[in-house]
Amino acid sequence: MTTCHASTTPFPRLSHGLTLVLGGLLVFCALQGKAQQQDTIYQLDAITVQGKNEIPAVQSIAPVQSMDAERLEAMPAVQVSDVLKLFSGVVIKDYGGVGGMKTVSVRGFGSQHTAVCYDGIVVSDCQTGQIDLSKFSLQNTGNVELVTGSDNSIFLPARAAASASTITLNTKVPPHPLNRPIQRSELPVNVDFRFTGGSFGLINPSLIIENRILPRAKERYPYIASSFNINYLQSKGDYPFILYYGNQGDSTSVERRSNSDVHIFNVEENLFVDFNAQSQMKVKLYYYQSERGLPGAVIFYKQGNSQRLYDQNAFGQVHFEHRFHRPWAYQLNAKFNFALQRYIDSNYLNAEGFLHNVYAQREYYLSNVVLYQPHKIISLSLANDLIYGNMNANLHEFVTPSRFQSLTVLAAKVTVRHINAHARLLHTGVVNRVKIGEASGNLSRFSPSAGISYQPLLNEELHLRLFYQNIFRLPTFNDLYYTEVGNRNLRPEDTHQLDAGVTYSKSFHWGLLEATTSADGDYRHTFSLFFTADGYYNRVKDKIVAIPSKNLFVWTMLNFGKVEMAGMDVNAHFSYEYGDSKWFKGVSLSGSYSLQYAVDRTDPTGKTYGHQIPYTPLHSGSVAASVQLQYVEVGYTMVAAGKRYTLQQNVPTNELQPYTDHSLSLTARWPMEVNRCVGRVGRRYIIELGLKAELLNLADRHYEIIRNYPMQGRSFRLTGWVKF
Amino acid sequence: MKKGHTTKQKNQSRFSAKLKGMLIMGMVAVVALTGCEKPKPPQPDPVDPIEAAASGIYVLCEGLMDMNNTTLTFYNFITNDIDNNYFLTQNGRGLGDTGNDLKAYGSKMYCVVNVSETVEIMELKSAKSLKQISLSGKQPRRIAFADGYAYVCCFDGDVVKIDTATMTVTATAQAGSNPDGICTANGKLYVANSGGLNYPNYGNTVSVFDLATFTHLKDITVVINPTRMAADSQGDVYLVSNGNYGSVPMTFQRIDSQTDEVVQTFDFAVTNFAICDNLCYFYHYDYGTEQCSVKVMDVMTEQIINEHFIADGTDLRTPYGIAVNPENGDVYLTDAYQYTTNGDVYCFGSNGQKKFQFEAGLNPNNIIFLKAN
Repeated sequence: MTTCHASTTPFPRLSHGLTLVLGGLLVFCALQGKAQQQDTIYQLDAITVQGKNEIPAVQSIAPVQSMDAERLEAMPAVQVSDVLKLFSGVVIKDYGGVGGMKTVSVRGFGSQHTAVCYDGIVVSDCQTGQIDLSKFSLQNTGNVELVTGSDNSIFLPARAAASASTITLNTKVPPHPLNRPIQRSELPVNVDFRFTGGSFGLINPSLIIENRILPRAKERYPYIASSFNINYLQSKGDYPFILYYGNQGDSTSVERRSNSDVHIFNVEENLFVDFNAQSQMKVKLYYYQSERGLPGAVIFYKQGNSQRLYDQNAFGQVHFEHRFHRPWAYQLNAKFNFALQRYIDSNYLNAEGFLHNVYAQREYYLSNVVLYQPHKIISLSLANDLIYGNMNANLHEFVTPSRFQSLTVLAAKVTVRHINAHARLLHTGVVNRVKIGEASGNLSRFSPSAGISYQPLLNEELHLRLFYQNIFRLPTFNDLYYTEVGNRNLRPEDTHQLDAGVTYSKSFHWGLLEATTSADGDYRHTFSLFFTADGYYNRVKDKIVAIPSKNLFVWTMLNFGKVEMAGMDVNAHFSYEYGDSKWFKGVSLSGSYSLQYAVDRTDPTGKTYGHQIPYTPLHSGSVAASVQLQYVEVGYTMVAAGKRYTLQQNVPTNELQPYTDHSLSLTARWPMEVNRCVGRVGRRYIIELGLKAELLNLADRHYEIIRNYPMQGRSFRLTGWVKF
Repeated sequence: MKKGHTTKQKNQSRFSAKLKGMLIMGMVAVVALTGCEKPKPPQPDPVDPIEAAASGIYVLCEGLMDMNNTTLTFYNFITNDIDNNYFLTQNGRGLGDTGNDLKAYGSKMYCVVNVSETVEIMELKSAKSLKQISLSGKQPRRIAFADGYAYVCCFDGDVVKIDTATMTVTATAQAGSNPDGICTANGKLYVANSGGLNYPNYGNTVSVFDLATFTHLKDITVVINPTRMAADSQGDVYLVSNGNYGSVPMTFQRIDSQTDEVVQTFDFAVTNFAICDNLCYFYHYDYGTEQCSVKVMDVMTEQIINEHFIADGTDLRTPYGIAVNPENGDVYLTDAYQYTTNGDVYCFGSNGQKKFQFEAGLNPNNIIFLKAN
């Protein structure tokens, strides 16, 4: 979105942050951009340069929701999951507290159907198949995006098309000359230091250093930049909660969470190289380490828990792309990932008196993508990803599984005046191996998807869209091989998605200001509107569930369930900018509503047939609002979810009560212009001091998203930063 | 434990720990009813499913781990009302997490709540709590009674002795690893040491204690992973060993309490059983074929006298508990289905004809009969 900001903001010379205060919401600025019609290789390249989906949400065939760092800075949000909670169609399974696990379910699918893409490459966990979002820091997140269905861009790795939906997390990147003209007077180094302190022992310092090692003076010259992120977070997490021993009117007690401390350290180094205008490369080295207590479910009459979890994760990834003279473009992605997890229960009632499990997994990943654009209306791409993953553990008779996958996508995209369409065919080939015993069978499967969007009037940003996607998730290593539980004969969990939607955006402005600074002119009043509504129908078959089937005491994973979902996602955003005041800049308001009717269709004679699936509210929604003043921005968010059930059977004992969670933030930024002569170069740059105060869950509502995992009540956070 | 597989876990490792616990948890305690009377002759099906031989029944529903949803169902045969959360109704709080055992003794009933680590002592006729005994860190599993004392075996290896009059813990003795079954016979206490948390090295002993002195007498070697135990009126102790779910199959054994030796290993499999009036009613559920069978054995002759107890073709999906009403010989079986939906309770006359059924809570495992006045 950065491109659009640069082109639309009335104050291009001001620092990044400040322009965006004025720029308002990401979605809009995109709409106003003139470059949006040029769905060319250039634009496809830009997607990968910044790892962002540059096609505006209004034109997208697949529903796209996103939020960028500047907006995040001005709203109450502690973790990545807080941002996703504002999106429609999303259920965050949040186990509470900073250290509690957070996974994402989209439109009623299990969390294994949501891929998490970190700076362009999918993050994997072959053991559990789900990614814990609490691992990712919001401090160095530049952009959070959720795409439901298959992405608009066809110049992407095959794995990006292999999930029902995709969350993309992009780290902050140094300003790139493609996105924003770099002034000669700017410093070659940018520093962003932040320190956060908050309730329940929260301490979170972070530092980003960006370095333009070789600035690009001319188009054909190379450009090299790097960024270094280091982040530490600790929280004691001993927040109070109300324990309800029954229903309304029954006994309660006030308790405190215990053994819920968390300590996270992570460090990243990124290197960005443009060899020339045609070739670009990005390299990332990442290390993460954490220790946390597992507070466990709150159990009546019982205190304390003694389980602890230690994680280490390191990966390195490379992205390279080259744009040949039209019509060819090529990209390569490679990654090596290593993850180690240790689990210790110091109070386990076995002969040793403790339990110590160690799990290690590795993944090797290589992706090649070729894009061919014979004519401006059509482009074709072929992508192939090779993935090899293995895992070992210190469990008795652990099979030590490995899996080799080859994913191939053939995709086509057509863009004509009123119509934008794409189609994909994914082939998945899987070879399973184990060291002990028998491996799960191999697999070869085709998965189609297709989508179309139609713009009835070329001068109105009104689009109708329709897409279909068939995709599956592979059984995880736990599903297949877990001691006594795993079932080698599992089939993949198959999904079908059908979506039809409408998107609309409109921007009005009036009152041309005389002292205009931009080419388009600046107006006193700008009013923007963005609206999307999608209806969908999804189906899951061969759902992988645990059922006691070897005998009463040993549960086994089986392809048992069928689920049917029908729902609606509505997003609306309004913003108003006032261009003729020093102190008042504008207001914005956005809201989302989700209807998720997701019911069990497994066994017509069973007790749960037609019942809403667990932890999926029929109604949920969010509101985000902000008021932008000079130096100061006030942000407000509210998330709400209706009644949910903790188990498949919709009976009162399984009910979880509805909740709302309101949060407020106040962000102040003081940009200070500094002029200094360094040698013969005159340096003119901005130092920004910032302060953000957050009041989270201000109504102090005690609620649960997962039964017996209470959420944090009212809490405070204070963040200060300096950046230049 | 089951819940570990159906709801998202904190993380996979934790999942594993729970899994191991699971291997021995979630089983049904036998309602070892002592002093049974002769069953009355089979009665015709009543129009209204009220049992003349009881004024009501309590059903302990174990719930699922980490969900604090152990519930007590009370079916009042006089008013025909069913309260599926009767303990909560009577006490304004829930029983807690994973109630494994419920037994009556004298005018009280005792609920052993494993994960909450409590023994809830209630007035039998009202289910009002008289005292909650906390056994912190012990993971209590099952309970047995003799001579005014209750004995609770706990997963940490201890047996806790509770004075039923004062409702206080008076002594603790050590058995083997992860005791999972307990019964009394012939002035002695028998404790089955499952060793379930030491997978794959399961326990293979039953510890014998002298009830008078509460001292350890000997260990009896049995088939690995022993769990449910109950004694008959002859002083024979019957025992289910779960084996290792692989090469060692589930095995039903008989211990002679005179010699404290295993005197018989049966050639048929038993998943769960209840003994009343010299009859042992048992079921076996074959997970491979998903078939269950309910049979009757004469404990005097150790011969199966009825290969097909259910005479009317009633189909049980996943039997989870069995009990016999000592007043009239009615046999109660519970069905837990997929363990994540509310279970049903079936009542059969001693002729194997279904009398009635009703829905209880999650995983109904134990039944207590409230005598008709």
